[in-house]
Amino acid sequence: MLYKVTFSETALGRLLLAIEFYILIVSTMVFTFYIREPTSAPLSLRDNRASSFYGLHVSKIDADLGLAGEDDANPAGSPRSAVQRGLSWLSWSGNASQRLSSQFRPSYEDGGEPRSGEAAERGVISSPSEKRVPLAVPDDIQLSSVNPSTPNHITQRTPERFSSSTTQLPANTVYGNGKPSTAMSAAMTTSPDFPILGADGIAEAQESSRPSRELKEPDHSSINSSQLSGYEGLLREQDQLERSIEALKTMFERGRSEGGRKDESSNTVSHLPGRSRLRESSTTVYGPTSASNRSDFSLSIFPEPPEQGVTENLSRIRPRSSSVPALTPTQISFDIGRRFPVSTTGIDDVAVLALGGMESVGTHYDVTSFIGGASIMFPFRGVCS
Amino acid sequence: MVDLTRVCLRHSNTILVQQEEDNITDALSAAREALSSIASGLRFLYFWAFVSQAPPCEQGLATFLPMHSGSWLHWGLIGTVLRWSTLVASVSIFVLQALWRLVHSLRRFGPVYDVESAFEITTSGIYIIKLILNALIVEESCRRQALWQYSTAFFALVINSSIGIGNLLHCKLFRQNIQL
Repeated sequence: MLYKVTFSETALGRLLLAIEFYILIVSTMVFTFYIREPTSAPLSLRDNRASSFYGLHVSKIDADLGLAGEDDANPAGSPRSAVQRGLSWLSWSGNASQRLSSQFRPSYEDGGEPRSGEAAERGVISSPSEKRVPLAVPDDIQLSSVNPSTPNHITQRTPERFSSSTTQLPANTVYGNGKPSTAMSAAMTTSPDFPILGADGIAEAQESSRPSRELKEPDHSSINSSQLSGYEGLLREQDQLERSIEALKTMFERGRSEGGRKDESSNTVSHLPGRSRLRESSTTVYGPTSASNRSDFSLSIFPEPPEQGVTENLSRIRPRSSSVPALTPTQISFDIGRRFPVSTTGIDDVAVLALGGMESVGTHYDVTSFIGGASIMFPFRGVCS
Repeated sequence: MVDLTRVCLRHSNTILVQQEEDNITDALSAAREALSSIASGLRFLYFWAFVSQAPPCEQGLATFLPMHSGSWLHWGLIGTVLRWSTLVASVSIFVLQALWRLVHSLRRFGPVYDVESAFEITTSGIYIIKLILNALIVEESCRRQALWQYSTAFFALVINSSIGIGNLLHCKLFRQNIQL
């Protein structure tokens, strides 16, 4: 007898339905527990890997570049104290240069102290644009070429080894041997073992009997970061500051006793061919120099300021200028540097500009604005004055 | 389980027991049909949700993508219409199956049965096409993996559609006079 039945009720239909359900169940379980497991496994592995890096110091630069995670984050969940971080930093300071990214390495190959990354971690804020400043070091820059009689703080502040043909900012124009550029200068000041210039710089200063080389104004960031570096760093920094103050006093007294500062400064730098000259008036960078002291500049020999000096001084002049903040110092200096090769005679101007806190900076700009080409190099000068 | 219970109950020989068992068997048959219709509806609803999900290779990135490859929104108005129409069809399959399985007046081989079989075939075809489109719009590096991961769903949907086609053929079996 024939009966109509549904296909799903037949043996074949039921077998197919069974196979379908079986496939669905198995595939769902596989995709749920097998396929997704590799994606969850690396997470656990990543956590384990992160815990294996506990204690390693990752520089801020690497963190900014996405090369490393947050170093201060303790894998165990407990934040490390400031003293612990400072001690760990001290233990790692010897290998700091190896931990810098390759972008900064060329400027530290001469034995400099690449501490900007550590300093940035310690609270000093430096903009990413500053970190990416190409640091072209002229080959002719030699520390030994600096006149020992030249006041050392001017040596640090003025690009004495600044090559006039170089359109980029040399890395070592601000500090001594191998010191980071202005982009890293703020960060370097927070180094506990070398709060001002760097370990190498101190050694050179002591060997070459130039105590004023260590001079530098301790900014607030360095003080704040030194609090994080522990007692050793604080004591070391205090010693450095005291020595710097003593050197400053000595140098200032010497500078006042000497007459004819312009001639002396020109003579001082005269045997530095192709390099910047230094003025005695710039020796009063850290002293109580008045506007009249710097009004002794002669227009005939007054140089075009170099880029580096502008970079440094803009950050200092900015509070008094209403329009300068529109451009960052780095931008201005690089724009200028690309278009106008800097004259070596501009060091005086830079040195004076480096005074920063001096009240007569604006007057100084007025004087230099009448020099040919200077107004082009410093389009903001009229605003500053 | 329900069918096994019915078979076990039929082994009783006493008349009183058989009368009682007939009532139980009818109830078990109704339960079986209801569960079968629910299973079919849930199966299609599962496929409806499955084709709307991101491919397995994109599931880790689903939160970062504005629109994953499994979204119906890729296909505009047609996609939206198909999305909700397939949902309605999946629910309709459950309802229609329950009707022709449980209602005696609609029992077997009526228009409801044919419509339900047509829904099964159409919906399975739409789901197959949707899975193919999902695999086509994923990144090329992920396409082969997506196709591989969709292969089981393809196979299941083919079985679904083939069962629907078989139901429309009104299979005729020679069988003995056995009351199921």
